[in-house]
Amino acid sequence: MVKYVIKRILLIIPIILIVAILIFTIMYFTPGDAARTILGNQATQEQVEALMESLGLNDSYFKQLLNFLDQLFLHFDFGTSYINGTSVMSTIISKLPNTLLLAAMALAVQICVGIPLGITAAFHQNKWQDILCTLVALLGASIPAFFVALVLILLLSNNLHLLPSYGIGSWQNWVMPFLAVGFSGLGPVARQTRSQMLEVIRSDYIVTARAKGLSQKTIKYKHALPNALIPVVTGMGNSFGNALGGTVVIETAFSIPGVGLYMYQAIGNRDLPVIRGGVIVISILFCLVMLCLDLAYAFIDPRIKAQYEKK
Amino acid sequence: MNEVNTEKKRILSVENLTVEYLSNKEVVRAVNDVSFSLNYGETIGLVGETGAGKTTIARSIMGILPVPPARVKAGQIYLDGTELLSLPEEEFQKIRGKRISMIFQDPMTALNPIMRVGKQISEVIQTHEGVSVSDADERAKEVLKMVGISSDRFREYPHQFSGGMKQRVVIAIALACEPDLLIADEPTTALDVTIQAQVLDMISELQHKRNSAMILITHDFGVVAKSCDKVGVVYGGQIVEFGTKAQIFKNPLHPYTQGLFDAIPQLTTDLDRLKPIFGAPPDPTNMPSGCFFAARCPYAEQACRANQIPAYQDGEGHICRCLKYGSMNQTGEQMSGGNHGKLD
Amino acid sequence: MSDVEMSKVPNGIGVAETSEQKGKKRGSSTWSRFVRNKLSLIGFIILVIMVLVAILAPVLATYDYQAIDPINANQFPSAAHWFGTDNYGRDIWSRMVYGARYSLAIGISSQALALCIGIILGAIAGYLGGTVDNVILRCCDIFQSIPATLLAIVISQALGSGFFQTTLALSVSGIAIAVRMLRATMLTVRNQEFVEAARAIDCSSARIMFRHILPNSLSPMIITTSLGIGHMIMSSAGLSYLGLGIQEPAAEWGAMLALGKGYMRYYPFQVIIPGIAIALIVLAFNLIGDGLRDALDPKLKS
Repeated sequence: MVKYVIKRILLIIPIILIVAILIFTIMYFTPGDAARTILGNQATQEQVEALMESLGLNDSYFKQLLNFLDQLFLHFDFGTSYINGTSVMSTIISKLPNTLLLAAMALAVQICVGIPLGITAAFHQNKWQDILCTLVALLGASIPAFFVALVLILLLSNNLHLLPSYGIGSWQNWVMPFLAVGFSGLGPVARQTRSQMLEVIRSDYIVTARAKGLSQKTIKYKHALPNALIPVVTGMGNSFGNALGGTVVIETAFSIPGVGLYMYQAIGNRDLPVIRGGVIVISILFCLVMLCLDLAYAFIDPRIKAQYEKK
Repeated sequence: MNEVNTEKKRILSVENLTVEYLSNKEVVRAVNDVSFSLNYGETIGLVGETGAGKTTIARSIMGILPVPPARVKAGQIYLDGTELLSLPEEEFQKIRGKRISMIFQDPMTALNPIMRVGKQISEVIQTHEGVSVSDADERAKEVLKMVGISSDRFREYPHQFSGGMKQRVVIAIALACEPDLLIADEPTTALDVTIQAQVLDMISELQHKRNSAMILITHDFGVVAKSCDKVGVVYGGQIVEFGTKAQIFKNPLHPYTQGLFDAIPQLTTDLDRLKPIFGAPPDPTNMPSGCFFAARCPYAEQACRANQIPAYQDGEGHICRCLKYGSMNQTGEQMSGGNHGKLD
Repeated sequence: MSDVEMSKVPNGIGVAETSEQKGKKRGSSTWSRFVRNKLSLIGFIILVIMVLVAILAPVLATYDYQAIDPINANQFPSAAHWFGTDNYGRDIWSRMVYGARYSLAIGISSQALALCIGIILGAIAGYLGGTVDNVILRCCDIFQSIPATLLAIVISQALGSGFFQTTLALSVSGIAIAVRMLRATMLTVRNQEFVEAARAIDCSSARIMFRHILPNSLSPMIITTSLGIGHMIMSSAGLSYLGLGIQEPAAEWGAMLALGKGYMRYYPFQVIIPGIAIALIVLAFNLIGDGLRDALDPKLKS
């Protein structure tokens, strides 16, 4: 098992390498002139040419790519921002905690609210609990997170003056972001828990459990729930990925100085090293979370664990 | 206490059991007016085609019908004089797994895939016997040994077991609390022919040791011939014929039973072709008003299709739901047994 | 006992249905099951209304949706301007009506593109298996290790804004999901007996794929498509909101919302109206997708 975990962690490296190449390649085709962006419109053509030379932008694609990979994997460096010349890596690291907090909130809501909601809905099929679950899930899946964020700001901040609409100074600043990410991420987990639970309840081993004379509570929580949660765990990985991607929108809406907001500003300025760095860092995080979930999976399901041990 | 009960003491009687399934506003009549009874130490075989309602009868007795969509429309089930269907759920839980237990058809899916095999056995013991976890585990290991599995495998998971071994575990769960009534729902259908006999022998042996009663559900007359004392032939959710093994095998009265025997290949007779029963079982959402078998019966007459057929009984307790037999029996005539094989 | 059916009893219900009966029931009742589900019917009605609005946009629009009218800027909803006007004095109702075209077109076209590529790659992976399958799956892994929103952002950034660019960006981020879905259903269908039978009578690979396997993978494909269109519409609005994707002065709902955001404090309707429209159309596709799932997959219904 330990061997497998190490193997899985090592496997992330080639994935990140390819992700980095992929992102570099896509961004390579970005129209516009990086040197012109940096220097502004007043700069002379000579100045622009000189800067392009010094940034290595006149080199061939392969040379630039190799240079980029060399910087990234051997020096853990994404280069410097076109706009203010600061190191992208250190800026991202300083902003990462805010983004992680936001993503952790999303995950916490999924686990603490989504799963219980799904269970309740499954046990009260077609009752009000079930309808509530369906409603929350549907609205969460249908209303864009940025719209939820804006409506929250309108209601709680602009109209009722209950909460500050931007910044991260106190806990009050985090209430609305928490509600926004929670609401958007809740649906898929709640629904999957519900449908898995309903499917598991119909399976033969639950009939066996009933035939044993176990109490309803034992059957539900000891036999049905662990089995139902196995696929939910995988689904949660994707939800977490969405939450990470969604931080761009949420951080922008609430002016939270995280990686997402940093990237948003970079999008406006065509600050390519920042966008590249942000996407790669978030992808690494995503891979790590997926790995953790995969391992969690193995701990719930002995069949998966056995497969891993065989490999 | 079992020595006392060895005398023919009634353990179970099912009276006029009628079960329906409601699906998409259609009513599926799965079990229709089924009655039979069983004594300690006896084995009754319920024989019939897939979908005849055998499993539903078994699950009604266990109280594990899926409600909804299932609904017990009428009838009573008595276990040692206690009516089961009106028992509150908590009381029924004390009986399930303890006094009545069930061996399921498909060992591949009957076990919880993410729970250790030993735990799945010791759980029953712990629930019903009020013993500590470690005591329950010890007893579970003994039960495992009893069904021929080394207690070393206590901590393994179902996916580490072969089909036959899983079925042994399912049997171990059913026998863990030494039930008075064992319901075996096609316990060998999912198994290889080579281990079918083994498993059946094991069940019979364990049953005799305890003097338990058993309901054996099967569609295989070979299994019936081997293990049963009494036989009920189920068709369209009804018991169309009921009698001792000798009565059914030597003198099948119902045309359906006769048809089933005709469809069995014989070693002794030199037949080129088997005689199948033509047609299909009745649509359970739209049962005929008369005899359920009339559409396929070579002897069917106008009267057969008119009304429900009552169960006729002769002096020896041989019961048959057939008008023809009923009228003949009343006039003292005997119905020909037909050209059927002698399996016993 | 040759005439006794030896097949397994359907779980829990001791009543066998012949396959012929099942086949007949399935075709005719999918629609009735779909309609009986009130929520999916609501979704269907919303969609029909949206499609009608998109088609009849020139008729329904009360003003030129592009006409700038600084004198009447930031008007609240009134009889003259049903949904008010935006910061440039453009009539929001007329812009909303034309915006339905964008949302539907971008959602459907990007999902269709993703699905087409997904079908081809998924079918190849699922049918051929082996190395090809492995390579395609690893590629999906790579694409899926970048959160879809970010991938769309990066591609939009590289391609620039505009309808086709956004469609491409969104569809690329949706391909991996389509490939996986199709491959999974292909694998289940591939191992079924009728495919074995087709192989046994020497049907060509292509024939087996297009005549036998693809039609049987249809249900999950329809469900994924419906849910996917909703997702694409939402993502495209998100891109516009971030300043990528379709941009001003195009009458795209996400772009309208992004514009209104700046004046939200004083003119909240400029945000709320497009926001509700986006939510409604995404909701419609989600409801339809759910309804289809229940209708096409009866085993999920009790």
